[in-house]
Amino acid sequence: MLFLELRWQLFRNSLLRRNRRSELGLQWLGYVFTGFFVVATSIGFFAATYNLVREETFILALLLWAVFITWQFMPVLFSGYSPGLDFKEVARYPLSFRLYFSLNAAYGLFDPSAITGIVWLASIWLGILLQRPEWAFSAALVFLFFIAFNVIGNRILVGLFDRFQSTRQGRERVAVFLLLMALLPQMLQFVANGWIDTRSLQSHKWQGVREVMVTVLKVSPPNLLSQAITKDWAGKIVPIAILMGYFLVALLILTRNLRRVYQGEVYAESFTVQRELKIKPGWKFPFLDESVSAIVEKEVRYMRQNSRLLVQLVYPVIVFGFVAVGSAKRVPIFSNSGNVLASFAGLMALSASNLSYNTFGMDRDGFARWLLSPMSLRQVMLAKSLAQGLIMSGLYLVGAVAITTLKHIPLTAVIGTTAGFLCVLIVQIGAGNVISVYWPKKVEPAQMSSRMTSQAAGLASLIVNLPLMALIGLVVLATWMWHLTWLPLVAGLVGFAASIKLFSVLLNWAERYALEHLEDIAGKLTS
Amino acid sequence: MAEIILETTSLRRTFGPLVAVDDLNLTVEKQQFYGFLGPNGAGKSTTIKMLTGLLRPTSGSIRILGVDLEKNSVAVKSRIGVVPEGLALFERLTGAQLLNFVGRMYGLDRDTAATRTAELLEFMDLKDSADKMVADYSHGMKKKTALAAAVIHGPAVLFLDEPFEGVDAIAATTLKRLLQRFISHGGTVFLTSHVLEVVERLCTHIGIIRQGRLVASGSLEELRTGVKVAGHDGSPLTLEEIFLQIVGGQKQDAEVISWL
Repeated sequence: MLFLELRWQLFRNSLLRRNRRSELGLQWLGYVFTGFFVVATSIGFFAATYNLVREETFILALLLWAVFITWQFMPVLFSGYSPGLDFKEVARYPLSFRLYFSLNAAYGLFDPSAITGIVWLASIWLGILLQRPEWAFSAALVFLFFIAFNVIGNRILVGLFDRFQSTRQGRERVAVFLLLMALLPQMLQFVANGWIDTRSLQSHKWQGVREVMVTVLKVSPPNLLSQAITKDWAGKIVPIAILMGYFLVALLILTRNLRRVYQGEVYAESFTVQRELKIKPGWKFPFLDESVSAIVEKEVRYMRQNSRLLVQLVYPVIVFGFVAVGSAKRVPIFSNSGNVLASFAGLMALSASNLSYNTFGMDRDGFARWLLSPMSLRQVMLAKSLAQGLIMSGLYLVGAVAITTLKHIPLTAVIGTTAGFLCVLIVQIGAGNVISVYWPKKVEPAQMSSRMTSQAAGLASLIVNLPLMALIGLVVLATWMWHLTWLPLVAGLVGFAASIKLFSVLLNWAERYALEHLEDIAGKLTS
Repeated sequence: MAEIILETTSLRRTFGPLVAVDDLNLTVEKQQFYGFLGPNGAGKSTTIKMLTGLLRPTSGSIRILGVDLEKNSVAVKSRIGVVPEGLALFERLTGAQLLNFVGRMYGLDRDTAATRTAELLEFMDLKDSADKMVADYSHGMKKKTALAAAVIHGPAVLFLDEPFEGVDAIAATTLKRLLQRFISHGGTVFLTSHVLEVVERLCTHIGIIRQGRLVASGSLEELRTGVKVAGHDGSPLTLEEIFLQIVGGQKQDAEVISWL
């Protein structure tokens, strides 16, 4: 009971944290949505079982796979989003190991994904009861076993995850891995839509891989569980024996891991052997003075040393490459080569918000360093903007050169599109400075839950991007309706000049606001 | 008469109804090692934040090296070094990159910044960790890095907020060596600390703040002369005795938790 109360208290406190109140509405909306999701999917699980289990017994394995994956991986994938209890700390209290083990397992049983899994299992069981009552008894026993197995398996995974999380590098690697996992469904969606060509995977050279996968699937827990329910008594022996084997191994692993934590194992930061000290002079950029060069260098290093940000920056480029180059014929907009470059330019300009909409977010405590330095905040933000512009322009340049070479795009279109890209990029970065001081947000690179920008900044991006889109849309429409081939070029160049002026206005605005709200900004970046 | 390095006049800072610092008049002269003491919540950090430009005073003025901080903050900031409360380090740079960066931000050319970075890392015993990210440093290493970052541009005045908090004896010795060297070369130090023994050993002058007001200021000898402790044996008062007498925070035995 104490632990249930603690879990509830942690959840409540997470809602009351500073900076969270403004996001409460969205958060509650999320909970309501999750509730609907669980209810709707449970109905789906029941319906699928009720309608199909009589003819197609494989449906059981499929549904149990869904339960298994959700139960095992969702808590890890969303570990940063929900308040957690550190069992390394719990081990400090005067508890016996048996109680410590039980508490750890019980804690896993009250995880939202565990509760979802149990509700789904109940729905499946109801379907079985109504359609195949002769299986109901064995299904009930098997499902109870499956619950215990999932709890133990999940606690092993969470423990492993904690171990990785014990060093900064480990935390960041895990965050990047989870980010890639979270991006995977998008990639699969592209495959499903036929935007990415997967026909090559069906060739003979992948035959071996397919065979291995089929074997693995046969001895997977969900498949064995399905057999333990649907086979006759003699046929149940082998799957149950294998499942018991899995369970015992999992139990042993969890016991061993928990005992090590219980006995005070500390996941320490590791130290590496250092090389001889050689300090290289910093980077020097043409036309920039020493201080501004130093800030640009710092910003580029910060981005380069942040694998999560790199993934976010490079991922759209990779996906675009797959979609535009690999399957151009299936996506109508890409039938015109000029559109490919324009789409890429648009994508890159919009991606700039990842960098610019929370320009001090990664600095965190370092924000005070800017205030202590003999530079105005305007100079600091200008230097940061330069760094962001350089990075995004560099990415654009690489992509644009590749697209222009492959698609033979006319020079006027390239110049017009590039001018348009720069125009939108400059406005994005300029607006980013204002948004960064209005809604600063501390970024935790090692936490999946820590977004690069605040939710408010996400909404503000609409205010920035909608007028831009409307303007670009008008130019495209006018070009198309009246065949004004020169218009994109002229509009791009005029827009470029206007965006420079707008950037300067926005920069002054951001500095004025920041100077009046220094403590508020510093507080949000450090708390 | 010695040159006045720091001077505040009627300095006041409020946070809503809370008066954190009230009518603060401070004077620190060249080459003084000024220790600014006070109990928790007395206004020490608020004061040092105002002196270094991290916080705007509600009213009053601050002059550092003869320059008004409000009117010409950039000129003042280029001549002071600060170790602030949260250290203000860019933790995703390596120690070497950070010092190099800070040096150049203060206008040092690339070669000078690199040379001074190497010297400071050597002096602070951080050489072996120069290529490690500051995020992976221990607390003591971060403190030493922050102090190195505060001195790399050769400031005239150092402002240090709790420089000895959470550092081990070895790191503390390194910090003390650096500060004494800084004073002997004509620098001035203004520090806040809870470690009274360190302040007593290092500081030439002491100011004590309570509930936002300066309640005592002067050299240790001047403070000893001004404070009388009932029942004292006549030996020179320690700074702790002076502090407790002035601040009045000592609990009697009867007030201590009965069951402990």
